[in-house]
This record gives sequence, C-alpha cells and structure tokens, in this order.
Amino acid sequence: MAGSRQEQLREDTWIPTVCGRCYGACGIRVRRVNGVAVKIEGQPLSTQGSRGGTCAKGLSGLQVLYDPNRLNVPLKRTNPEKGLFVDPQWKEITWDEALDEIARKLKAVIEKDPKRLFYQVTTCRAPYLRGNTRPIMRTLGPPTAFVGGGGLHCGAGAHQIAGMVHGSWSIVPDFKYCNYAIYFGANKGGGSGHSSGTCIRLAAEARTQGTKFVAFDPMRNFASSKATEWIPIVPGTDGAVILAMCNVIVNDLGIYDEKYLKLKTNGPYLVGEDGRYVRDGETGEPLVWDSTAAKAKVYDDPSIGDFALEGEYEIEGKRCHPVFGLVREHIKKYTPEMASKVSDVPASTIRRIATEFAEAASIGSTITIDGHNLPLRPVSAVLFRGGEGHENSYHTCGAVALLNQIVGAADVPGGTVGWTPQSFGFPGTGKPAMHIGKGKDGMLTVDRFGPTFAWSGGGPWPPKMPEFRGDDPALHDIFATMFHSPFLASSDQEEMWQKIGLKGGIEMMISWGANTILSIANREIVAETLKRIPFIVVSELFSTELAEGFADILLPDTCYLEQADCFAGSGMGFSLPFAKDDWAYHITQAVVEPQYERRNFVDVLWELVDRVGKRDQLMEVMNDAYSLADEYKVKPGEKIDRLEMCDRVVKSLFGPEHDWEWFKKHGFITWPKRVEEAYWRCFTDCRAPIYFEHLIDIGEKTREITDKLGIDLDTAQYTPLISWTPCSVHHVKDPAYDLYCFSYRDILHTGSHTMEQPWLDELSHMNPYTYNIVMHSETAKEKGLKDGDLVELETVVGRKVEGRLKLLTGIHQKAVGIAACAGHWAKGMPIAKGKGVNFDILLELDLKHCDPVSFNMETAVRIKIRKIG
Amino acid sequence: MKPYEWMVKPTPQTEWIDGRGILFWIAFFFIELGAAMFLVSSLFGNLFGELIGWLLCAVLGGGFHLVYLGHPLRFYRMILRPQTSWISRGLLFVSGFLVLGLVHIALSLWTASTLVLLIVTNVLAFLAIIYGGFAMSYIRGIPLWNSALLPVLYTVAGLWGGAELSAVVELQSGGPGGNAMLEDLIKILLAAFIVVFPTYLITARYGLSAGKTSVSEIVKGKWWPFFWVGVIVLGIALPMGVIIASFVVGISGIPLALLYLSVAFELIGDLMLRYLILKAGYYNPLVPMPGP
Amino acid sequence: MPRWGMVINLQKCVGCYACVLACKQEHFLPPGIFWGRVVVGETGQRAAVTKAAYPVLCNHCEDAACVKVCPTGATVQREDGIVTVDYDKCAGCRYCVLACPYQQRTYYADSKKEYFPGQGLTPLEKIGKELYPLQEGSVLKCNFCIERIDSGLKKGLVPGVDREATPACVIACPAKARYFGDLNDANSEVTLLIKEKKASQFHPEFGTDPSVYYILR
Ligand SMILES: Nc1nc2c(c(=O)[nH]1)N[C@H]1C(S)=C(S)[C@@H](COP(=O)(O)OP(=O)(O)OC[C@H]3O[C@@H](n4cnc5c(=O)[nH]c(N)nc54)[C@H](O)[C@@H]3O)O[C@H]1N2
Ligand SMILES: Nc1nc2c(c(=O)[nH]1)N[C@H]1C(S)=C(S)[C@@H](COP(=O)(O)OP(=O)(O)OC[C@H]3O[C@@H](n4cnc5c(=O)[nH]c(N)nc54)[C@H](O)[C@@H]3O)O[C@H]1N2
Ligand code: SF4
Ligand code: SF4
Ligand code: SF4
Ligand code: SF4
Ligand code: SF4
Ligand SMILES: [Mo]
Repeated sequence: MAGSRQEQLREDTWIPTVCGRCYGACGIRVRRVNGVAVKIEGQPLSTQGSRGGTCAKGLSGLQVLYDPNRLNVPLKRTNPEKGLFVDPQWKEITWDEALDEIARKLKAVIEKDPKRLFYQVTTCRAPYLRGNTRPIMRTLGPPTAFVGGGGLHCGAGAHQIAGMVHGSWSIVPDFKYCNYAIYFGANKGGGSGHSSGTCIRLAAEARTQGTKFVAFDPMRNFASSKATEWIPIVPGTDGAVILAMCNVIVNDLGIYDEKYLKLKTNGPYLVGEDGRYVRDGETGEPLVWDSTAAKAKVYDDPSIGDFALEGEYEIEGKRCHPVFGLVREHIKKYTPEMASKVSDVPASTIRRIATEFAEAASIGSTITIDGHNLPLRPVSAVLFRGGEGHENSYHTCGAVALLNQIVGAADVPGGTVGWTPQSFGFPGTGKPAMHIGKGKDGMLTVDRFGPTFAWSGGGPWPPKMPEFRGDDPALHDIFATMFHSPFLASSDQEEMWQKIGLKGGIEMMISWGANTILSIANREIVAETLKRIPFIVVSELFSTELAEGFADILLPDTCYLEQADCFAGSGMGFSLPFAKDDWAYHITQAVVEPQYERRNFVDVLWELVDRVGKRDQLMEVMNDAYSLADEYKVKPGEKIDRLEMCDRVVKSLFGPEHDWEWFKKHGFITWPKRVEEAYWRCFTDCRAPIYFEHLIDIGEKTREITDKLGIDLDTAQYTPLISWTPCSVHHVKDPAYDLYCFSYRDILHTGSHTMEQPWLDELSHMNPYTYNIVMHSETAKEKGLKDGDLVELETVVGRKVEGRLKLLTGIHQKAVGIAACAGHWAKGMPIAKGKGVNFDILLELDLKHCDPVSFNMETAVRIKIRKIG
Repeated sequence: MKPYEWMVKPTPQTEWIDGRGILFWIAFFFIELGAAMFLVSSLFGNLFGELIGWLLCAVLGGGFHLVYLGHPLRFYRMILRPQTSWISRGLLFVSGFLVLGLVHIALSLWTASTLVLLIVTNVLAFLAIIYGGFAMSYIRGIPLWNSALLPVLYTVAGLWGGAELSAVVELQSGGPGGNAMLEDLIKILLAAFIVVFPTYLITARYGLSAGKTSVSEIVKGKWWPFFWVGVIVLGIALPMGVIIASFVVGISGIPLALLYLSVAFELIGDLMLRYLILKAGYYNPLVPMPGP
Repeated sequence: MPRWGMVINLQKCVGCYACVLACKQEHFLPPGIFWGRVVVGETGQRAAVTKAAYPVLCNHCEDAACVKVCPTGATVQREDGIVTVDYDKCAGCRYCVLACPYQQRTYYADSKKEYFPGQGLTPLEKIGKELYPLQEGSVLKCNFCIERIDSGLKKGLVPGVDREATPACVIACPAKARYFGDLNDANSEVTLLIKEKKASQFHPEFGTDPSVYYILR
C-alpha cells in the first residue's frame, strides 16, 4: 500500500482466531482495517492447520461475513403450510418475541419428556459447537440429538472402531514416518476429512519424502490424484479387498507382528464354541493359553511365558481356540479372486499391494525418538466416508483396523494413529488431561477432560447393551451400536414409532446449522419427517431450504468471524495436532462485532436455559464438564456471562497468567508433545480388538427385542469375526441400472453452504468437475453420451436428478460421481441457487438402507443414465 | 468455451474481436484499406482517391482505434516504444503517413506537391499497410498468427482492396489513363492472394495444435458462412469471375454495376477474412489435456 | 541485483485454489479478474491417467513479450525482474494481453461489477477500492506482490523467508508447494530447489525465460 494511504488508516490490525469453514478449525489470523476484515491468513506458528496456509474455503470466509443475504433479524413463519419449495412468508420479529415463544415451548417439552426435543447441529462447526452443546444438552435432558446429515453419511462405523482401537474419533497415517499408506475412500491430505489443513501440509511433505500412497477409490480426483497409485474400486466392496489383503499377508506370506498381536490385541484370547471368550471361573476375566506353561491363564497374568495365538485347547472339557487362529482361518475365504470378483480390483493387484504393505511394515524394526526406542511400522491403512459409507460400515472399518493391527502398525511411529488421545496436559496445570486406560476385558478405554477433547457420549468401550424402553424416538435403546439414528429422518419413521409403541413423536426441533433437506437423503423423505414436528427453530446464517420449508422461527446467528468462544479447535479432538506435532489450543474471537441483530447462538442457548429456569443447573454441569479449578467454579446463584466462563475455562486449563485477555492477544497456546503421548500405545497396558466378541451378546439381545416388536432386522453382521457383506447396491439385478453413483467432497466446498460465496462459485466454474456429473469417457461412448450433455440419473425406485456431464478417464468405468452437497433452491441463498447437483435426492433412508450394526446409511446408489438435452 | 477449458483446450483470444474488441477489427481494416487506397491512387495520380484513402484511414481507421482504447486520451503515449513494439511502430507509420499525406494533398490542391514528399508518404503508407500483419505475427502464443505469411497475406489483401477502391474512383472519374495498368495490378494481387491464402491456412493447419483448431474453426466452425460465402464466394470467386469475364468480353463489356458489386464483394471478403483470422486466434493450451 | 522467482512443487500442490483467492484478497481483485489461476484437467493415458492441477501466474519473464509489445511503456521490467504495469500510463490497447503466451494479463473492462450482483458493493469491496485502487480501461496482472517485497525489503526482511515480504499466494498455500526467492542467489531456497529437483520452466519454447519454475510430479 502506498505510504500516503497509510496515513488515512485509522486502524490496521491482525486478530488471531480459528477458521470455521470446515471442522478442521485451522488457526488463522485476520487483518482488520478501519473496522473491515480484509484478509485471512493461516497461523504460521500453530500446529493446528497448515502452519500458515489455509484452503480457499477458509479465505472465502470474508464473503460469509459480508454477504448481503445473511440473516440479520429473527424471522417468523406466517405461512402455516410447510414443505419443500414453500414460501415461508417471513415476518420480522423481535428477539424478545422469539425468545418468549421458544422458551415457552422448550419448557413444555422438556418438562414432558426431553427426548421429544430434537436437537441437531451441523458438522461443519463441530469443534466449536461441541464444547457448548454437551453441557447444554445435559442440562436440558438430554434431548434426542443428531448431527446434521453427517451422522448417517460419515463416521458411524469409523468413529466406533477408531474409538475402540485407537482411542480416537478417527484415524490418519503418521505421515512423518510412514512410507506406505493405503486409502480406502478417504481424502486425508487431499482437502477434506478431519484436520484437513494439517493433513494437506503433512501429506504434501510426505510425498516429497517418497512416501508411497495407494488409493482405492472409484475416482481419481483429490487424494487419489496425489497418490502414487490409484486403484479403481466398485463402491461398497472395500471390506472384501481389505480382508483379502489380510488373508494374503497372514496366510500366504505368513507375515504378522506376533508381539503386537499377543500383547496389544485380543488375538490370544481363548474363544469357545459359542464364539465368546472363555473366562476364568473366579475373576470372570478372559483366558489365554500360556504355551510355556501349557495351561490357561488370565490374559494379564504376569507369569505368562508366551501367548498361544493359534491351536486348539481344552479347558474344563470345552474346546477352545485363540482368537487369532480363528481369524486366520476365517479370512481364508477372502481370496484375492473372490474379492476381485466383487470389487473389480484385479487379484494380482490385491496380492501385490498386500505384499508391498506387509514388506514395508518392516516388522521388528525400531526407531529412537526423544531417547525412546519404539517399534517402527511405517505403513498405514485408513478409510473414511468413502469406504465406510455403506451397509457394511462397521465391519469394513473393522477390517481396516485388522489390517493395521496384523502388522502392528497402530499408534506407533509410522503407522496408523488416532488424534492423540493421551495428554498429560499443559506443564504446570496438567490440563487438559486425557488418558488411555485399561477397561473391561483389558480393552482400552478413554478417559478425557470434559467436552473439549471429548470422545463421544460415554466413550467407545465398553459398549452399551440394548435395553428396550420404547420411549426413544431415535431407538437408541434398541440399537446399542447405532451411532446416529436414521429414524429421525427416515421413510420408515412412523412405522418404527408404531412398532415401539411411541405415542406422538418429536415435538420440537432446534437446528443449529445443518441443512438436512439437502444433506441426508431424498428431500421428500426428510420433508415428511420434518412436517411431523410441530415447532421448529433454526439458527442459521442464511435462510436455507430447511428454514424456508420448515422453520417456524429462524434466528440470525453470528458467523465464526463474529463469534467469541474458548472451544475453538478442540471439539472431539479431531482438529487437534496429531502424532508428533506439538499440542495447540486455540480460541475463537470476534474479528468484527456482530452486525445488525445477529446473536451468537451459544448466548441464545444460555438465555433459553435461563428462561426455562435451569441456569444454576447449567453452571453446575459446566463446572464439572470443563473441570474448572475450584477457584473458578461458578457458585450457585452466581451470574456470569459467557466470556467470563471462557476466561475461567482457559485459566483453569493454562493457569491464571493465560487468561482470556492473553488468549485474545495470542489466539492460541502450544506446548511440546511427549513421545509417551504421541505414541501412547508403546507405553500403555491395554488391548484393542481384532475380534468383536461384544457383538454376539449385543446381537442376540437386539434380535430378541426386534423379533418381539416385529422389526425386521438382519443381524447377520452382529458377528465377532470381521467380515464383508454385500450391500443393497450390489444386489440390483436389472441390467438397466448398470452404474454406481457416489458422492465425493470437493476441496472448494464444505457441506452445502460454501456455494453461496461468490469467490468459491467463481472457482467452481473454473473447475471441470465441481458442478458437473462425472463419468468415464468409454462408458459414455458406449451409451452415446457426450461431454456437456444434459443427463438424467434415475434410481431403481425412480428418484431422479439431472446435470451436465463431464467425461474423464480417471474414474471407474461403472461409476458416476457427483461432488459435494449442491443443488440449492432457497431464495435466501441466491449465489448458491441452481449450482451443482443434489446427489442426496437419489438416496433412500430406512432400516434396509443402513448398516444394521452402526446404522451408517448406504451412500452409494445404482442408477441408469439418459440424455435429456 | 467453458471457464474450466481456459488454456486447457485451445483458447481463443477475445480482446481484439469480442465486445469492444470488434472496433479493433474495423479500425485495422480501414487503416490498411485507406493507406492502400491512398498509395494505389497516388500511383495513378488520382488525387480524389488519395483523399478518400486518407479519410478512410484517418477518420474510420484512426477513429475506431481511438474509441477502442481503454484510455483514448493516452493515445499519444502509444508511440513511445518503437524499438520493440509493433503497435508503436505502426502508429508512427500511420501518423507519419497521415501528416505527410495531408500535407501532400493540401499542397496538391493549392499548389503542387513534390515527388520526394509523395515517395516518403507512400513509404509510410506501405508501412501502415504491413504493420498490422507484423503486429499479429509477433504473437507467439497464437500459431495461426505467428506465421511469416500473415503479414504477406495482409499486405496483399490490403493492397488489393486499395486497388479495387482506386479502380472505382477511376471508373467514377472516367479517366481512361492507367486503367489497364490498374487492372493488371488487381489481377496480380488477386493471383497473389489465391496463392498466399491457402498456403497460409495449410501451414497453420499443420503447425501446433491450436493452429489446427484455428483452421478448422475458420473453415467449419460457427462462422463457416463467413469463410465459404464471404471469403471464398464473394471475396474470391465473384471478383475472379468478373476478371475472367473481362478477359473474354473486355472490361468495358462488363456492366458497371457488376464491377462495383465485385469491388464491394471483395471488400466484404477482406473484412470477413480479417474477422475470421481474429476470431480464430487460438492460443496453444498451457496444459493440453488429451482426455475426452 | 536479485532476480525474484518462484518455484511451484506440483508434487505437493493439491489444487485447492487458495493461492488464487489469496491473491484476489491481497489485491481486492474484482469479479472475473484473476492474477493467478489453477488449471485443472487430466493428463496421461489409461492406467497412468491422472488429474493435473497447474497453478499459473505471471512468469515475470526475463525476456517478457508483454514488455516488448507495450507501446506506451506502461509495462516495464524492473531491475529485479519484476514485470509491472503502470495503470496511469496504460492506454488500454491490450496488445500485451494478446502477446503473453501464458495469457496472464487481463483487461479491466468494467469496474461496476459487484460480487453480489444487484445487491451493491460489500464493505469489503468498498474498502478495497480505496485501499487498492485499480483503473478501469487499463490492463492488470500479477505483480509478484511487489508491495510486499518492497515494503519488506525496506524493513530489512527477506522475500521468500519472511512472510511479510513474501507473495500472498506463497504464504497462503496449505501444502507449502510454493517457494519464493532470489534466482540470482546461488544459495537461495529457490535456486537450490531448481537444481536439486530439476525444476523446469513452463513452456520454454515461447522463449520468454520465465522466472517461475515447476517441480513436476
Ligand atoms: N451429496 C452429499 N451429501 C452429503 C455428503 C456428501 O459428501 N455428499 N456428506 C454428508 C456428510 S459426511 C455430512 S457431515 C453432512 C453435512 O451436512 P450438514 O451438517 O447439514 O451441513 P451443511 O449442509 O453444510 O449445513 C451447514 C449449515 O450450517 C450453517 N452454518 C455454518 N456456520 C454456522 C454457524 O456458525 N452458526 C449457524 N447457526 N449456522 C452455521 C450453514 O449456513 C449451513 O446451512 O452432509 C452429508 N451429505
Ligand atoms: N473440503 C471439505 N472438507 C471436509 C468436508 C467438506 O464438506 N468439504 N466435510 C467434513 C466432513 S463432515 C467429513 S465426514 C469429512 C469426510 O472426509 P472423507 O471421508 O475423506 O470424504 P470425501 O472427501 O468425500 O472422500 C471420500 C472418497 O471416497 C471415495 N469413495 C466413494 N465411495 C467409495 C467406496 O465405496 N470405496 C472407496 N474406496 N472409495 C469411495 C470418493 O470418491 C472420495 O474420494 O470431510 C470433512 N472435511
Ligand atoms: S481446511 Fe477447513 S478449517 Fe482449514 S482453512 Fe480450510 S476450511 Fe478452514
Ligand atoms: S508471463 Fe506473460 S505477462 Fe508475465 S512477464 Fe511473461 S509475457 Fe509478460
Ligand atoms: S494495454 Fe497498456 S500495458 Fe498493455 S500494451 Fe497496451 S499500453 Fe501497454
Ligand atoms: S505473486 Fe502476488 S500478485 Fe502474483 S499471483 Fe501470487 S499473490 Fe498474486
Ligand atoms: S495454494 Fe498451493 S496447493 Fe493450493 S492450488 Fe495453490 S499451489 Fe496448489
Ligand atoms: Mo461428515
């Protein structure tokens, strides 16, 4: 800037905060000139993010802040009709009017039954919402909760398995030391997934250091385009390929990490004819076979000479086998040929990749880090939404964990790691503390500091048992391993409620972000469920399809650049620095003060809690949840505002010198991560399953309940042996529906709301794929289709979407891909309107289209395609 | 062209033809046509032709060029870099030609001009005719333009048009002298054009990838009627027919209206040709994608 | 005298467009104007086929076609190799736009465009016009963030090392795929990278001797 202009500036300052455009929560700093935010940059000194960079979505935040289409005042629906494409005929109301009405209804519903309150949040702000949401939920009931479309599309299987195996929300390669990483439908380092910015940085660095990346993916686009090798795969068949690889490694090559399996898994546990552990009569603990002493002992008996992994033993007249032997036998049926047939991946490729992976694992090798000699297993297999987004989610995730654990590559240098679940805390305060411990049957448990850094309700282990109550609209009582409930938006919702005898349904909904009309499944299905809810409150930045069609009251929220909060990047921990990157703790702070009558929804929630008379209770919950140091605990009757709470939280965590003012100035704090934290597995006495014994009991119990209720649940996947089961997409017989359609994330978009920023819209037009339907040029030729044709996709049950065709060769010949979550029509989002294709229209949502264990929904669909223009 | 095809597929230039760029096309046409008309007319001592040529060049050529500019008032700056810039050179030629041409015409009207002045003026006029072709052929990224034949083609076309217009003036003023020579000149220029034009297209076609796109765009793209009707039929075939007919029945045997018409057609052909060459100026893609 | 140059490591680049947007933000570029871009498509055949993302920007060519053709002297090359346009001198003839074989120049035809069409300029757009005025009717292009370099140098900072003195697109890159520095300094990161990784110029056949180098994937 010219010097002369500088003088006219009244103010020119940088404000450190975090990005809120995806749940990566990268550290950023924002330049403000004369009160206007003019520039966003990454936070170079923080390990949370790319260390100075951001992605384009992050930069485009300025156009969220200054979008003239943002909501500025509370709105009330005057059109009694609700439904898709209905004009709500918004009327402006005052905050007082809005809060009065909401508080009245809220009070009524929680007094009657908190479960009739449906409380939904968006994933894109998860790290931020999390810390505030959990205490408020606890205070309110807890209500029936839901995470946008996300709970069903992503993570239902992955989070549970990652929790049980890695003590973490999700998994990632230890990029720094990894030499060979396999991706089964994940985009880690390619612009999405957890810690997106951090992964972009670390994966890029790994590529230059020669790490080999192998991507199984129907399409060669983001992570797969950066991979050394791309292997096209039929959606939903990853499990078969992974198990075939395990088979090759264990049975053909005879390679496995014996030590790891014996000490860190349930591999040596003895299993009886009924599939359950054989337990010690006295303690009830699982038994193993000590091959040195030639007798059974409790798994953690210090006198064990060596663990038998295989063989047949007799205990008290009952035949039994160690888990590993059973697994080894079980996976023999997954021959590369078998897997090849379903997945289209050549058998020779499966053998080769398996061999490369096993060899690269260099079992037995070690590395010294900070004076500690640790196992080095520089191989990693990861998956996320792509591989797990199917009716076999739980087991497919289990298969990945098995592959990693066979070679001992879990939470050791170079292997697959979680988002560090072990923390000794900030030097001096010892907070936030998180610990991996040993729980039931020796399996790992996570004990974490409150809602920040928290895992999920309850924790991954031990799993709950089903217990029918019949009062839960989400049916969590029946389906214990169900992560998020499809029945809150499914086509069989009424049927299910009838079957469980639920009288009346959801009575009130609070939606904090999330645009579920676009982001879950076919919009008509979701619309029907929303129509059943008499009172819907939506807190949003924009008047979305969900809001216009169904909200009774629409509240204008502040966007992340106008918000202040002490829970910025911590969330479920999946935005935190992982592996050996140093710890970081960030806050969110307002770059500009909220404009118009926008109100931070956290403040609104506090106010509502106050109005329903639960203020003291909330403070009590928060005292506990945030593990506030005694001197900072809120006393009964004491009224503090939210920023005061933030101040107490950070002082509690980092000492009185690091108060809110300190954090406002610095934005974040970092401290070194110790080896015992990063690679906790080497230092912790606990095990992870390669055999899901718990599913037997859960399955039987669930079966009992569902049979009684007349719910037709296929419990075949409640099997302890990790398996692959074909999905409904693989059963379609009609040859007309010859293509698999899937959705993938574009680096330019998060969920459904980034199409509203003109910058991102401009860039999307400059990208050949973002707004178009992609398919293979050969397939197109066979069908007489050309690049640029207007085409219609139709599912077996006649659901249709249309869009422009873009041909490429980097896609499976039987696959059709659609980016992001697009296809807006709301008047409140004029820039986004009409852009891209809403893939979700094609998706069914009911019991039959979910994984019966995790209830992840099927996110692939069979279609036929025809030209319409 | 879709935004995502930018420099992935051969990408057309737009600045010199689309939007206000259309003015550039017209400006260049008239600058060259006017200068050529002046030059040819002066060879036959047709002062009226010189004047018309000068006016075409100055008013239409210069005028449109000025309006085309983003900052017309900074026009004068454009002569500052003749060492390297063909536009600077061109403008020096054109302005030199216009100044001297005006002096020449004025002197001729009032007293008498000098041969030296006329020669110098005509040298500048000639340079004004050729500079456009050089300016374009300097552009490396566009294979269709980046050809040594382009300046030749433009010069031939410019002179031919100028000669045709001079002939009209000759016919108008009825002066019989020089007519035969002028006709021969026109025949030679037509013949040259018939040789240069296809050669130009063929060499462009077999050059870099974008050249191929350019040529196919010219002959069978959206603007194909400009090529087949405008350039080939109107611009070449009809004038050629008239010339062949004139061999048979003699020039005086051709109806005057037909002669005028053939001149008009030739000019239309020339204009279309220039339009096509500007419109089909495709850049070689930066990242050529072999995909579909 | 330094010669500023950039190295882009395509092995690292994920095609995220942050560089494009960072540049737009740094210079308050209006709708439709890009000083940097990412060119995306497919390269290779059959099994080896892959998506290719090429970030492009002005190459600040040693032998710049745009400088040569500019009739007004508005486009010049500084001693440090940076090619700039003086908006006050540009006549808007667009010869340079045509002449750049990399198509890195844009004629600024319409300064009335709004990012939210018909809804007026946002506070960001308004302050942008004040802080970083551009001239309608002149030609625009990447200036290697000359303001950052010059003010950085004045403060004793090193372009390519200190963020404040380094182009916006370089520091914005989340993959750290972009490097900046002095090509004339045998020990600068860019020079070493070019040597070590055999980085090459993009389309050297245009004969302009670009100052931007690419490390191929
Ligand atoms: N086609 C397709 N569909 C998908 C997916 C896919 O890949 N393709 N992915 C699925 C997955 S994994 C997920 S997690 C879901 C995500 O689905 P959703 O959670 O529904 O996400 P979005 O559709 O982006 O909706 C987020 C909404 O939150 C609003 N918002 C953003 N920030 C704030 C804020 O600070 N306060 C408030 N009050 N609102 C805010 C935005 O304006 C936006 O309308 O989508 C699923 N659906
Ligand atoms: N840019 C961006 N980042 C985001 C989000 C976003 O919306 N945009 N959302 C966040 C959220 S909510 C989530 S859940 C994560 C998701 O992060 P990821 O799980 O990494 O999701 P995607 O990026 O959609 O990557 C899935 C990949 O799987 C491929 N795929 C689809 N079906 C199959 C299959 O059956 N098998 C295999 N092997 N591959 C398949 C797709 O082509 C795609 O490349 O990203 C988070 N980060
Ligand atoms: S990766 Fe996510 S958090 Fe990071 S800059 Fe991009 S949008 Fe923001
Ligand atoms: S890339 Fe183009 S605009 Fe930039 S210096 Fe080279 S020729 Fe000039
Ligand atoms: S448009 Fe401006 S910068 Fe470009 S050549 Fe003409 S005068 Fe020079
Ligand atoms: S160097 Fe500066 S001006 Fe050039 S593209 Fe990068 S950010 Fe834009
Ligand atoms: S910012 Fe970096 S990773 Fe993103 S497109 Fe530009 S060069 Fe590539
Ligand atoms: Mo998600």
